[in-house]
Amino acid sequence: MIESAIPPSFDRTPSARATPSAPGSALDSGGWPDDPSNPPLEPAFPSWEEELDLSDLDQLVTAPGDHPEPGEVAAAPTAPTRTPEPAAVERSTSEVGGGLTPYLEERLELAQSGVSSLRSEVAELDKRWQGVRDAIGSLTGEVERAHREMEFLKSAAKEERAEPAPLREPVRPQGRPMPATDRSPGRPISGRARSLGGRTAAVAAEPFRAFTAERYNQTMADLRGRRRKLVGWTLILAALISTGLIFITAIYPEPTPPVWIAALPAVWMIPVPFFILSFRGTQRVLRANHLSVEDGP
Amino acid sequence: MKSPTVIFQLTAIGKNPSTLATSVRSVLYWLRETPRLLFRHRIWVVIEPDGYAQSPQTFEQLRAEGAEVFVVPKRYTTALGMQGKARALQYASEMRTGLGLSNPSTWVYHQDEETCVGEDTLHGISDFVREGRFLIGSGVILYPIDWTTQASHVQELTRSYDDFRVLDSMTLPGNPMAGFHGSHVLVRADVEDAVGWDAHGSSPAEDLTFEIRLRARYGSVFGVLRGFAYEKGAFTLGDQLRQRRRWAHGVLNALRFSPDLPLRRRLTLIYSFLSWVTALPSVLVLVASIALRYGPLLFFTGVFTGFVWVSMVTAYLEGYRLHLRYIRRPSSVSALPLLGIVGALVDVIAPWYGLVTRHTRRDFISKDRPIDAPAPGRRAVPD
Repeated sequence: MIESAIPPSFDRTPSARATPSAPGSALDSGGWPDDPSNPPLEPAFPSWEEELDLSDLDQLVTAPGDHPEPGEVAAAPTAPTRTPEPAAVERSTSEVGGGLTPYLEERLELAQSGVSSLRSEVAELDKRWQGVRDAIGSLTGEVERAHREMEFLKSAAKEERAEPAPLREPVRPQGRPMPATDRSPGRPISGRARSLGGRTAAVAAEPFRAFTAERYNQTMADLRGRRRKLVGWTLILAALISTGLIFITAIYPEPTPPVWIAALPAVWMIPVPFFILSFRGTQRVLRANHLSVEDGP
Repeated sequence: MKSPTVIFQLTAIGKNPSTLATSVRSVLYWLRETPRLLFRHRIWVVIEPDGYAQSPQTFEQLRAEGAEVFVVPKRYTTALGMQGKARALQYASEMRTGLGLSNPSTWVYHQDEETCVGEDTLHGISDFVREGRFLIGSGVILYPIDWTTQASHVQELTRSYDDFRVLDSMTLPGNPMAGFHGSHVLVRADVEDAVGWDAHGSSPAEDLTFEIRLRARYGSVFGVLRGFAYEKGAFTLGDQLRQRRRWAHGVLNALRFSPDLPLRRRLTLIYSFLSWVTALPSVLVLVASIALRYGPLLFFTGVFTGFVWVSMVTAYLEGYRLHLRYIRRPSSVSALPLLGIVGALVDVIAPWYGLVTRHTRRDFISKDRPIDAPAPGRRAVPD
């Protein structure tokens, strides 16, 4: 576009070149060929490329609706003293001063949309950067925690080296309560060794140390193993008790109570469906779910 | 594939700092000691300013050990003006959203201040997250911490066995038996944050309200979480009564202030509450029929009497067996039935107590044992 604004007097075509033997020619001077000190030797008719450029130039500087014909462009000025470039500049200045290009609004809209897309991209970048910062923060926290764990492990290793670990935990006779001074945790059933060392007092305040996966699995396995027996004994005992009560009622007849008493069984029966559904639900959960967890390292 | 993250979130007022610290340390300990856990983790402690002020050194120590401690600002309010624990849970939810953690690869494991985890708990969480079949899961809770041979602790044994009923109901469409509890719950973060904890009114049982709203939005997406959680029961019968009163108010509140509660679910919730409420009249009817010689009634009620009695005794027996590897064998096994009856009477009185009284802040019972109170028959894990 800039090139198209170059006035046609700026000769680039070989046919328009001045003769090389002429000192001070336009090309030799290196300056503008329309330098007043170096007027063009002869006017140059613009080539078809320049015609296209000229048409762009006209679209830029002319008023709306006033578009130069290519033929008009082709009609280059013949007066050697005329300086097309200043005139062109003057023409463009005057035209710009006189009115806006019809494409200015379109170009402004394009620029605005470019700015808004840039703005949204900057916002997106900002969000991502915030995410990166959060990730860095959590990584930093985890590294710090890992460092603390390392320190803990090192200190635990030092303690174990300093105090001889017992060969085995003390055997407590069955039925005797644990001595008040012995606060060690319950021995894991799997026999996995846990150092008592100097931390027995702290362990007493940390009951959770005994909540192992093995204990859980054994507890749940026992319950699942009893499930069928539970069903059987529940139904058998329930039947026996109910039969006994009805039998007693039958052999020891009592006067028929007043009618209003008949409402009382309705009150008593309300929770019965709850008990039945509870029994059924418990059995279903125990039967349908695999409730064990991974055990040990 | 991005590794999932599990946030162990402990939400509480914070007025039981010793108990809370033990729960946090159980997570820290087992995260360190459990091999092959297929998730990354964070530990969040969300507390109220009053709780923090009670023992700031405890919370700062937890922070130094790796937990992230968040104090809910006093001026923080939810859109619907929710109070209590639900407000703190909503604050945590909004924080997760703000930190970009509300996504399908982040899970939240909810703990109460007395909820300890074990090796099995972490394996269960890892399996649940890896399988990814369900959006929310819950499991069985034991109550072995500070367990002693007293009525309120004996009564807790039945809760553990009853959890199987809860799990079954929870995994069925519509949750017909109104089962759910607010701790030992694992939920996907984006699901929880989409549902939120904010609701109308002040819900003393925010877990029930949350479950209702989650189910209304996502349907039957509940699964069974393997592994136990380990908690402690109420120290006294008074605490037990107040705790159950809060549950009763929670159910009534859910019935009154849950507009998205489907009719079918509303009916099942009403029935569950009625079953609980009519427990006391049932006992009175039984006593009256014996004392006033209403024998003929047994022709009708006697058919199911045996089943109800056997079910009740089974709950105590199996609950005790579940705890057997975690508690000291009681010195007097024969005392257990009597203690169970006392504990059961408190449970059947509680809903009536809730109907005639209002809940107070004391309903959030104390879990820290007083420093100068010796632990009677100190709990010890058997060999």
